[in-house]
Amino acid sequence: MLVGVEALTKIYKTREGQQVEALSPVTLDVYRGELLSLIGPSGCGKSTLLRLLSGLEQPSGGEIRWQDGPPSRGTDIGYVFQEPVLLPWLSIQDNVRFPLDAFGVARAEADDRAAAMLGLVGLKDFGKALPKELSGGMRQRASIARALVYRPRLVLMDEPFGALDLLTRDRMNDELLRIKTETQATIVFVTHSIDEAAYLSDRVAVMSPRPGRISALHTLDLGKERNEAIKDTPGFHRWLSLLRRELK
Amino acid sequence: MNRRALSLVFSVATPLMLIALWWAYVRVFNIPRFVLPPPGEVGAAFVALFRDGTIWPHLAHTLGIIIAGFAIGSALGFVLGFILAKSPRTERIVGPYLFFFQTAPKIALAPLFILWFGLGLTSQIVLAVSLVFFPVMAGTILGLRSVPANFGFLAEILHLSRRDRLVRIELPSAVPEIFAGLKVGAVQATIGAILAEWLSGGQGLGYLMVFAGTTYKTPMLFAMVLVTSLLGILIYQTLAALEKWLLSWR
Repeated sequence: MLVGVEALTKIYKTREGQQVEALSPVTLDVYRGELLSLIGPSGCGKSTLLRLLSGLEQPSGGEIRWQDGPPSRGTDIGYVFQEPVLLPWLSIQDNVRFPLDAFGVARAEADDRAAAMLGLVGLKDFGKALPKELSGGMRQRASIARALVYRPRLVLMDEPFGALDLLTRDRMNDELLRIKTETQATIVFVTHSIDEAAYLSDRVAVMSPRPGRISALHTLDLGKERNEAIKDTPGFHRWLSLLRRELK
Repeated sequence: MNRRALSLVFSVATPLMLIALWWAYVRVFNIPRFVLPPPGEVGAAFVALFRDGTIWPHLAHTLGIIIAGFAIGSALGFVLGFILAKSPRTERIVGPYLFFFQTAPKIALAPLFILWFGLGLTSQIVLAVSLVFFPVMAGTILGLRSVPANFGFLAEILHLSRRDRLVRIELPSAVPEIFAGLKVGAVQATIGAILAEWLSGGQGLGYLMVFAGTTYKTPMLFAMVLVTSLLGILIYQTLAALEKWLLSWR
């Protein structure tokens, strides 16, 4: 286990003073090296849970326990937003090494690590390019590279491929599986696509709204090696229909 | 003929035609030269200003005020803009006074500056500063306020220190708006410097214009208008080139 989430709750106050329960007690373990998807309709609290895990927001109750001690400043969490959020005035390479520069990593080492990470996400030849010169898919690759470059203990992804067209999305899913295998990263992945969740995940947490909670938690028996071929297997389709039923 | 050649022809032909019209008007209606001199005389006066060296000390004086006024005004505008952008409460308190000061016509305040700071260089620079600081301040506020919210999340995820956040994200992100303010400020500094010399002092392009006007050296006055316009364009273009280089990522 890497992170244990225990009876985590989040209550927002609306402007009229009403209390909205965004997350009713959620208990969940995240295992080392797994890809755990949070799936559910909008308002089910999946993004809230992600933001609580990241420390962007504080829980109203409950606890997040880290196996190896609390996360240190910045360097333990990688976050991939729905938009690439690249700094437009920096080259792709400088965007990827941005966290390393901010953390004070030595220049030569930062160069090496950024270059290696660019190679990993397939942007080896685009380090000098500006973000505006790249396609949406390539920009999101760069943003993933930036989140992984400092080897965080936990990588959080908030619908990272939601803004991409379907073909690019399929390609990015394969890329992510490959990157995950090569880096052994632990990833919590928010999506509203059943196909994406089933294809990528080791486990899927199905969430339901009002109040946000985990209504089912599945371990997918689709094997560690994933590729396009499993999308045609009966096992994959069984999971699709099961997840679809549960989301109704 | 392609578009490019056509636009080149127009860019040469249009001013030539205007000069021709001007010349014909003066000639046909027999306009006295102290009212509207023919283009040839204005050109001669323009050349004479540079050839006999009359213009240089005045140009240097004006440039000095522009540079000092622009530097001090920009620094002041940036610092004020920074404070107001970072502290909405300060903006609520100080903002109305600043806007009140900005809407007041500076030409009306100029005599007051002379009263306060004397007839010398100080009051001239103060007038230029008073015109420069506001656009720079407004640009800085706008720039720092329009940093995309996403960049803020990124800074929080990485736990950037306040300083890193400012230097690595907020200031670079605000550069386009700050530069827009600087460009307006530079033109304002030119106007301010010439206006100040017009009102007081015995040197500078503004003074030379007054001198030409009051002694009915109309061709020289026209030449001076040309000089100041060219100076303004030169200053603006310099900043625009700097901006293009700095903001090549856009």
